[in-house]
Amino acid sequence: MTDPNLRIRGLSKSFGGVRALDGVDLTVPAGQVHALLGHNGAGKSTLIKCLGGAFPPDAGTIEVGGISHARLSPRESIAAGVAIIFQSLSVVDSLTVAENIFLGQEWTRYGTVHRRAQEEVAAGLLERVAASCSPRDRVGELPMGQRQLVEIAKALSRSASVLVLDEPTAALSGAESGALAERVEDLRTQGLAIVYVTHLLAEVERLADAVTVLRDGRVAHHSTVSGCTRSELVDVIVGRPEPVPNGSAEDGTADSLGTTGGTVAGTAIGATAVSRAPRLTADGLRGPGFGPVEIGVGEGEIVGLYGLIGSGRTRILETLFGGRRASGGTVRVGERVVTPARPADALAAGIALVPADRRRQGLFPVLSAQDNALLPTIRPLARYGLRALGAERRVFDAMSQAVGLSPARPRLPAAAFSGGNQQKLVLGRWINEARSVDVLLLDEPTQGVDVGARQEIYQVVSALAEQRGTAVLFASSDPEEVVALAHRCLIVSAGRVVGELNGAELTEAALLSAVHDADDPASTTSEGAA
Amino acid sequence: MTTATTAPTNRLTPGPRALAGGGLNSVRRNPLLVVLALMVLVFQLTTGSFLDPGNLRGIAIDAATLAIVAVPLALLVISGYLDLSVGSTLAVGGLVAGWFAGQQHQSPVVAVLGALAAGAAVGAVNGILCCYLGLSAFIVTLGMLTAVRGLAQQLFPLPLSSFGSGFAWLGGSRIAGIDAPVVIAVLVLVAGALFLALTPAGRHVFAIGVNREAAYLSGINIRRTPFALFVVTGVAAALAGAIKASVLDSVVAGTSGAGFELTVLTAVLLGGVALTGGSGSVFGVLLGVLFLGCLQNGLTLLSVPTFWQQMAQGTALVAGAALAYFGPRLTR
Amino acid sequence: MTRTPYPSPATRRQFLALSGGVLAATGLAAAGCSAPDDGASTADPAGASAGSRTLTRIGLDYPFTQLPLYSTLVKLSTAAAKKHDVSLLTTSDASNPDTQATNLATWVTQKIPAIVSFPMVFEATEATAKRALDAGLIWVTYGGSLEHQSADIQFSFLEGGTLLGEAAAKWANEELGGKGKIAFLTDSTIQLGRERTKGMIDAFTKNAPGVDVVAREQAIDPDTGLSKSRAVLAKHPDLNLILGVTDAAAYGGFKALQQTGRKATDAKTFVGGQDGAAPSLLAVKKGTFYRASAALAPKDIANAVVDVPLAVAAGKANPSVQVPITLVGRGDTARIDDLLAQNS
Repeated sequence: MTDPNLRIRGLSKSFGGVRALDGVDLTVPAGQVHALLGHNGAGKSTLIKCLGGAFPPDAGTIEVGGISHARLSPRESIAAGVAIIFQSLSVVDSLTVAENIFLGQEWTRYGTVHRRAQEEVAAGLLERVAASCSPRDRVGELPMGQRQLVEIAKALSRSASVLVLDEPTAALSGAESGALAERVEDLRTQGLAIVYVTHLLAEVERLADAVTVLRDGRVAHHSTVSGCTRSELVDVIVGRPEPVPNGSAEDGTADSLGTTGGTVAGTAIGATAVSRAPRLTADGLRGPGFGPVEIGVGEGEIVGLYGLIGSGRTRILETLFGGRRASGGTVRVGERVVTPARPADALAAGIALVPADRRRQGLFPVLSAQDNALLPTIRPLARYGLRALGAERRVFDAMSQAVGLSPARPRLPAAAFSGGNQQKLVLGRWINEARSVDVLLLDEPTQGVDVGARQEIYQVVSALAEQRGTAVLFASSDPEEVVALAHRCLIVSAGRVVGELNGAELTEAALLSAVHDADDPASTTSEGAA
Repeated sequence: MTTATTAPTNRLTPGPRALAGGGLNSVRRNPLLVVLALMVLVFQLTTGSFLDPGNLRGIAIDAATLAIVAVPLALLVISGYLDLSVGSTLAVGGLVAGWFAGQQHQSPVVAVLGALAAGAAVGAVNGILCCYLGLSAFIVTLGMLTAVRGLAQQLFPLPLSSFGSGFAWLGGSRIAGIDAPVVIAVLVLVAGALFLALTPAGRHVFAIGVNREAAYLSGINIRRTPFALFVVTGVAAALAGAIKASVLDSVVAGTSGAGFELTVLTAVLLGGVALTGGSGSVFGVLLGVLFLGCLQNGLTLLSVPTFWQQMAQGTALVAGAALAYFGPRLTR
Repeated sequence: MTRTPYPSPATRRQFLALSGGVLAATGLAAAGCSAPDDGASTADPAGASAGSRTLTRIGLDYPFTQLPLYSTLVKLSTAAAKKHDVSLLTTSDASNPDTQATNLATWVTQKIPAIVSFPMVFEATEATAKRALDAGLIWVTYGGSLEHQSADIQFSFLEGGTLLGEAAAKWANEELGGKGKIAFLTDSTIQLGRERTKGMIDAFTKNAPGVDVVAREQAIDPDTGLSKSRAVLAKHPDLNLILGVTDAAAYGGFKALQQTGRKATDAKTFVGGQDGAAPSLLAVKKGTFYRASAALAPKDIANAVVDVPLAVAAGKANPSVQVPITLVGRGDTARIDDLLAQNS
């Protein structure tokens, strides 16, 4: 084929004044695997969503199989031959493999589903992706890797010519990742144009024919893989070789945050961490899917939990917060044993959690900003059972100033704020003057947050640790974030802490390789965890 | 859309202002206000007597019992729950009050307190099953609707009447020229609006209705407040029953309050309270109640034949809801 | 049996004529569908063997479980049945025709030997009645007649309405000089309601043509009666009469008039209803302007519920019964007390 199968030209998309995509070009010929790299928030998911029809782009064209589109609806996208396999798979657990593959395009005979024909065709498709499951298996009972293959088979059944894989190995074990890599190679030889989104440079080296790096919504780098080394790619992903936050954070705290280059500061923190009074201690904590783990966070210390999806990071945080019940071990705040059974217990003990899934677990979209930020504070502020409206407004104003809320409008519904400002509201719930906590747990603190606001959130969290001595424990799958925010990082894999990076060792490259090293031996146990 | 924008704004307005609206702003937030005004205008022009003080008084008394139950029910719906058993609870309230006042010759105070206790009991059963055991409020309260009605008929198979002049005070007396049920309804409306605007629990009601999981993770007791609202709804229904019994000086177990649950729910939903929870205002509920009251009264004044009246009622309801929904989009 | 302050001879004569007419009509209907006079027994295979049957069970299917009459009727019928060593079964239809059909079908399947049913929808019950007869069961229709039945218990609902309408018209002619305003609280949702409504309105408008009919509003319960009457009163504060298709609705009208300032003993006001419900009877007895109720005696009905199936079982000729409706007024203290006693 002479025409490239996918050609994106000048694609732009803004959200409320923030440019998520800025004139992005991407060309993927048939039979090529194109790796798409970049930090969280660099624009990768926006690009994919424009491709899948979830967002209409502001400008630019998407050309699939020689036909150009200014915008696509989800239906048009599928019809054009684009198939996107998201991290969170869209298979229906309660249906069988064959039913999932033919969902929405059922083969019927005399008005009823022609089950046998579907299963025969499904078996052929499964063979094509070398899946070991049967068309009659219930998807919910399959391991993660097989479910992914089912989704790929579904894409093939719709004769997709462009396949987008969004961090396909994030939730897979090492063995499954290897198997998937073979499938990707097969599909390439079958002539599909494949966009492969990943954080893992090893995968890029193994699979990709070409690579595009996005940064701040723009193409920062484009090359064939053979033309650049791993370290070059890391440099492009991270951006300028000098530390990122130095420009934006002027106060003393930011200096000690040190990113890739902050070796001296890093060492200093590592040293002081030892002398810090322990604020949060988890001894032999275990629960379903993780543990036992030992975690200690000192006063004013910020500790990262770095690991892939399904490694158990979130479970550990949720158990510390009492959202899940621990099956063993103790949790102490200072000297007190608390081991919370309910979130209310944790909050009473001074532990708060900012969950990753903001929309489901954190935000009250139709409620005002003030209500969102002050919800747990309203009762403590109240007098004689009535709300102290003046005090609430004062606390809100102080909080919004401290976190740099924009716009600082207390009555605006939370849904009208950008992702970053929504996160500030959820964060503000626990760090306002009337309600501050001893231990702050953050799960993916900047998920869905734009780059600028991300730095602001790091500053808020750092200042909190610095000025009030709050112990911060956060989980993240983004190496850049860990380096930017953490004093110290625990590597989590298969529900255990498998390593620790401190001071000068704490670099993005070290984190990436730590996960790789950890991933291989742990491959068998992580399967069911997701 | 409408409801989503109504909720956050009203929430921050202090109670009395929320109740009285706020001029042009409240018109924009409550398009039903325009619909209601139009309807009143049409009825006045066609009947010539719709706005007579005597007729308005009649509407107010009719709407009073509806409002007394609609306010707590609205709070319950805002918190993401539902109570369909209020029709039967209303009957129980009337029967218990009537039994105390008529057959036991107790003082009206005892009669009313007895009714309220019975209502609280029904509400508590609903609340325990829905909030603490996590059963579906729809099913539980639908079941209770039938069960409580059966219990009422079993206990009081015969109509009760002649409750004495003391008990008649509840439904018949006038306080500063205003009928007692209307005064009670106004108190309930004001209390509801103040509760939502001025108490921490009022905020929690919204939070629980919008996102129960997030509320739980914020350390809010997501069971206690809705439970209390179930109890208050039961109490309010029983109070409405006692008022109706007092006004009619009689109560029949089988028919008292039959179908009332849907009328109240209609008023609540018309008033902009979302069945999905998390948004609504007491002022909106007041409009919903008045809309239903005026509609029924106006059609009667016009002597519309029965089946036409039913059709007109249904159509007006849908039209009212549609105007309230699309109106703000068209004017914007 | 009937002592009313209203023109007894005329109404009684009419009552007899009318009930005769109804019986004749029923006879005609039966004749038209199932051959000559003895057709009843030929068309009904059970009829032949019915002669020597003894009944142990009678099923009473009265659908309007929400009405106070239901409780009273069940109690009195059970007592009446006990005297004959018969046990009485009941259904719980909750005024729902579908539930009623299901319950009746169950009874037919279980071969309840005698079924007394008040069909909510007569046409829809015909098939069930036929199946009951085919299965050799006794089917007694209550409140009307079906093509397939062993016998029936009839009420003239039309007659009840007529009695009330005439009495009110007579009162209006005497007390208001034939002028004034009347509101009717009607029912057009079920058969018996339509009959009562028609009897009431026709008799009144025929006998008091000078009175303005200012409203005909659907209302069968006190709540609706109250709010509709209140609305009518807002437009016509000088309303003189309210007649209700049920006592419950009329009672709501009675309260609405009082609320607008009418004294309970006002001489220029007339409220009347139908059923003989306790609150209304008490109001009549007290000498208020609630002046009349067209009442059925529950004991008469209860006796019929037991006697008619027994008569069919015993093979008696003409087992059907017409339960009389009488109008009770202020002077009928003894009758009111008797009715109230039956109701308690």
